[in-house]
Amino acid sequence: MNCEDVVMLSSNTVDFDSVNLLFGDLSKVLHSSPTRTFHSKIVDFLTTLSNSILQDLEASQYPDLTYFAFWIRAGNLDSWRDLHGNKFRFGLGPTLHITPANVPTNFLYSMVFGLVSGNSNVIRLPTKDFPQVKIITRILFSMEKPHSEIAYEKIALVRYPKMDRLTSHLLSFCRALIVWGSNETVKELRLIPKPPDCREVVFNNKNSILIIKASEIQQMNRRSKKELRAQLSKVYSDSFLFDQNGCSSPKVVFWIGDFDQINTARELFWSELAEIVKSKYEVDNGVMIRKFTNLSKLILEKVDLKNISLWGNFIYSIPIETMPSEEEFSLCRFGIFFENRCDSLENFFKVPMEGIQTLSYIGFKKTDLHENLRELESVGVDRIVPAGEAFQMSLIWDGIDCVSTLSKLISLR
Amino acid sequence: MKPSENLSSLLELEAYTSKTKRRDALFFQEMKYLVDLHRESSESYKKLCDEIFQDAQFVDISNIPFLPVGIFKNSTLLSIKSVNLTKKVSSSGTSNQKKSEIIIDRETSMLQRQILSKQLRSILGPTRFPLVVFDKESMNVARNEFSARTAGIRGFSLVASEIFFAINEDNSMKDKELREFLRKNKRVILFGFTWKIWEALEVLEATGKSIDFPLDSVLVHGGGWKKLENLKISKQEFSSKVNRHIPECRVINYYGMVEQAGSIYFECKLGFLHSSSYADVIIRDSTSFKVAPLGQLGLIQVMSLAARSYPGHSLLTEDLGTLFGRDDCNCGLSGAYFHVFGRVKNVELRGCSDAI
Repeated sequence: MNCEDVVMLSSNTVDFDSVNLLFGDLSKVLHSSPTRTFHSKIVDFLTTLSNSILQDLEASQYPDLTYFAFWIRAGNLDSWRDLHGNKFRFGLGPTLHITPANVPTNFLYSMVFGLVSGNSNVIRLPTKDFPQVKIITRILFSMEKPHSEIAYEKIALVRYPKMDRLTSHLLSFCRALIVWGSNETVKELRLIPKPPDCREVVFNNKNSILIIKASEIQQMNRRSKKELRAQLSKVYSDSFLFDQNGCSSPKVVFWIGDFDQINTARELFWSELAEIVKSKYEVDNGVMIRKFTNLSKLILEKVDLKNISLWGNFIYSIPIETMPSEEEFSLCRFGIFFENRCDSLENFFKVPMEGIQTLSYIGFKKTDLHENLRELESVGVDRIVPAGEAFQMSLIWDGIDCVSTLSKLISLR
Repeated sequence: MKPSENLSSLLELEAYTSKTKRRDALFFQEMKYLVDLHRESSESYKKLCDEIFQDAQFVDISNIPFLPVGIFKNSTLLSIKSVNLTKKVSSSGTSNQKKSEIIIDRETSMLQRQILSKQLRSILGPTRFPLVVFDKESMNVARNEFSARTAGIRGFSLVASEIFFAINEDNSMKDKELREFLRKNKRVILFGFTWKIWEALEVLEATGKSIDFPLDSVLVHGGGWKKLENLKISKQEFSSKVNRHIPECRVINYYGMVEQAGSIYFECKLGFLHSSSYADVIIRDSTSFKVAPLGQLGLIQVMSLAARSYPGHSLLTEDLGTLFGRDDCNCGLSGAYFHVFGRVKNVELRGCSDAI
């Protein structure tokens, strides 16, 4: 018996009474051996899960579940295996996931990161009782052998009150920790001791940007209003579906072009976007007053702020010259945007940026961006996607290659 | 800026006046004056007005710029040099919310007291009366900083001949002393925060004691239903508990907030809240912020002439309400009459945020 085993056994005596286990066998998961990445049993399990969600009547009422099911469809898993898999890559061991409180399906993506990397997963769910969580739990319970065996060994869905002692106890079994949350949460979790070989993957609070080629907006509009509206609907889903609360939602709009072009384009863009918001957005009676309060606070706090544009009561846009502070970003929600200008894509990439996750774009071609990126010494963003794809998850997130971070590569000479 | 003549004319009016046309004109002028006053004395207020109400034309009272009531949380807005300030009032700060801080100088404080006592006299009668407060005496200690509860108690004590605090520091009822006080005084006004009264009656019940309150007592309560709502206690349950302990008692609820202390909205016999001559209420559509038609649910905007040391004369609250009319309530009281339906929902955070 080596030292490690002694530690494990003694940890075992601490009870898990205050853990509310929604699914799985906690003890099994905490003692499960890691497997190779993209193990065929795991891929089969995920394919079955995908099908079960798609066939479930109740699940079909939740677009976020359907979206997740599509994300883990067989074809996608195959291409991931081709891209990220490696015969010599193996999982690390039990992984603890601390998932965010407000996105009902975020825990599923975190779970997939862990599963395909070859790990067993203890997933701490938000306290809020989302129907999506209930549906997934029900589907997991109804699985048949051999998938049910995989589920029980590799997945434990838990809830427990914010307790450092429990997190610390769970972590003593773990070889990896995945944290989704604010910078504060991350800071707190850092204080909890972890086994020396426990890796940490942190998805902390970030902000995102949208860049728009001004001349293209005018041209789209000239070609057809429909084309412009289609583009704007994408901005709408990136921004308004989660009230700009997701890290990937754009909060700063960067206009690229000359002065006059931008003036015409932004008028078109905002007024049309406000129309879309008006027709699509489900107004909760608290949203507008909170947006108004946030705007007022921004006006007080941002010394150099002037010339705000109000687009109906739906969108407020605030011109800026330097990137906003963390505090200012946090007030930017429910349809508040910062606006900045730049004469060229080249100069845009020279703007100093920190903590920016997604750069979404309108009016540029992928090749334009590719050309620019190739020349750059450094890049301030983690990912670049066309508008409308801000929330598309991938195994590379926040610039982290999740599979390689959550697994080890065996070298053989 | 020279003091407004409208103010003294307004203060000469009864709290619920029959001269409604004159009142409306004076009040509108006074609001315009306050906009100018605060623009001149508060950079922050001027910036807010310039950015949000870019080219407002002051045609009527609905054009007066309004600030979100939440602006007083975290930031202190001042329209005076801080040397003149006399006290700081903060909101009760319910459930994990940040507290509001309002800075009040002598002038504002005097105005608050003046309009409050005029309102109280109109509703409760011109003579001073013995007041029973459902709270601890320690809540009334004079300090430079105090809570909404203290502000409420102090406000009501303005028109009292004698005050009795009915609750011990350990939250038990001073039942013996209260019986004594009630024997001495035939007609009393009972006052307290809604949830504090509920709590006191619960404690009394638990001890199995009862108190004979004089018939035709008046119970005035305010401070909001939120705490009782959290305990799943309905207004009916509250009323029936009050009636069980204080039979044939007239119960008067009021609506008010520390951001506009001194200006409160009393409930009439028909159950409507009324604005006084020194205040006004507008209901705004919660999406467009445009004035909502009568009978439509919307956000409550409150206006008060007492806010001088801070730009809180016109505020958009986070409370929902419905306006039923102006100056034509069947109860006979003037003013805008309305219902309050509580706070807007805590906005669900839609998106990734903290692990809770």
